[in-house]
Amino acid sequence: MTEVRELLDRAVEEIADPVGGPPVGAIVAAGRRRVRHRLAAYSGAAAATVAVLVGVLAPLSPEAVRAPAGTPALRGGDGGWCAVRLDRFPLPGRAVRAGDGLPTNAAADLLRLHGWPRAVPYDVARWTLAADGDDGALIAWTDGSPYRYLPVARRDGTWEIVGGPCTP
Amino acid sequence: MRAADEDAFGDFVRARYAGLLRYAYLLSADRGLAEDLVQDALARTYGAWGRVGAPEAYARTTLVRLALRGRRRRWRAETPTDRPPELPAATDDLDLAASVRVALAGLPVEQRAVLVLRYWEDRSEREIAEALDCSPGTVKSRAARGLAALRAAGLLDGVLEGEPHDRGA
Repeated sequence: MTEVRELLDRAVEEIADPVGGPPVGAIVAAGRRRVRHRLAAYSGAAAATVAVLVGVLAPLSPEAVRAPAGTPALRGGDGGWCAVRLDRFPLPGRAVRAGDGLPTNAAADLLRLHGWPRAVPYDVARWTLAADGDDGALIAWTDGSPYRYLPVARRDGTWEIVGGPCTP
Repeated sequence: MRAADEDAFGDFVRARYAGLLRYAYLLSADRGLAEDLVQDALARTYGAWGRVGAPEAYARTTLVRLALRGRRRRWRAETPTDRPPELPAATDDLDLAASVRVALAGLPVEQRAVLVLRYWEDRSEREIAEALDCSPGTVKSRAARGLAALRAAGLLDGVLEGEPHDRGA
């Protein structure tokens, strides 16, 4: 075991400290950009919340809960689009359970229910799907947490993840 | 972020950057990619500053996840090579270091991550399984394959006979 450690130490011997020190300014600027993008995503989350409420309170007809044309799309943390438009929410607020297929596993990943940090139990987590035809976004949240989004698409009747999380 | 927090974050970056860069290099086996990974991980740490009690642990965990995600995205912008543009002087020590780097670069990132977490970070199999979101059995098999590759490269001849034992499982 020590030998492996020594080999790894040997491998990084050539990795010297960067000339002039670490790029603190660039890293801080990148961090600020990420925070700004996240705030933009929160704005999208507010729109999603309103749409969820509409979906829950409106009559049962799916057409009745369609968002008006031009509803702001959800912009991802990396500048990509999470969903083109929020149309309807057929699955509002379902509980996240371990080992329950793609939606809940993906929601658990989004909320980091397993892995570090593991402070959030499964039973307080919720997920829903905002769909526009075959495109959409998986939305996951817990009480008091920001909404997290994952772009998904329906292929051959099955929902698939098609991109990274918008609020990693 | 408040100015005082930003100053503290800057101090944190200055103090930890080199160590994180070495860690990222072991995970990625590529100097340029390692720098990208560290800067991305630290930018994410900036966003979590004040919410996490152990920012270095947060940054390291983020590094591992980014390294694994990078593999899934199949970065194609550059072609990896085991031939550096300027070959170092041929001494035994440098040959060994180069051999280790080539052997690490030849491993799948999942195996490399297990070796780094197990032997460089000295984490238990259970901790590694949680960090990599896989089972302890998968950690064991990846470690065994990674060690076998190092042995096949002549780097561990007769040094290790068995699997790494688990401290935490």
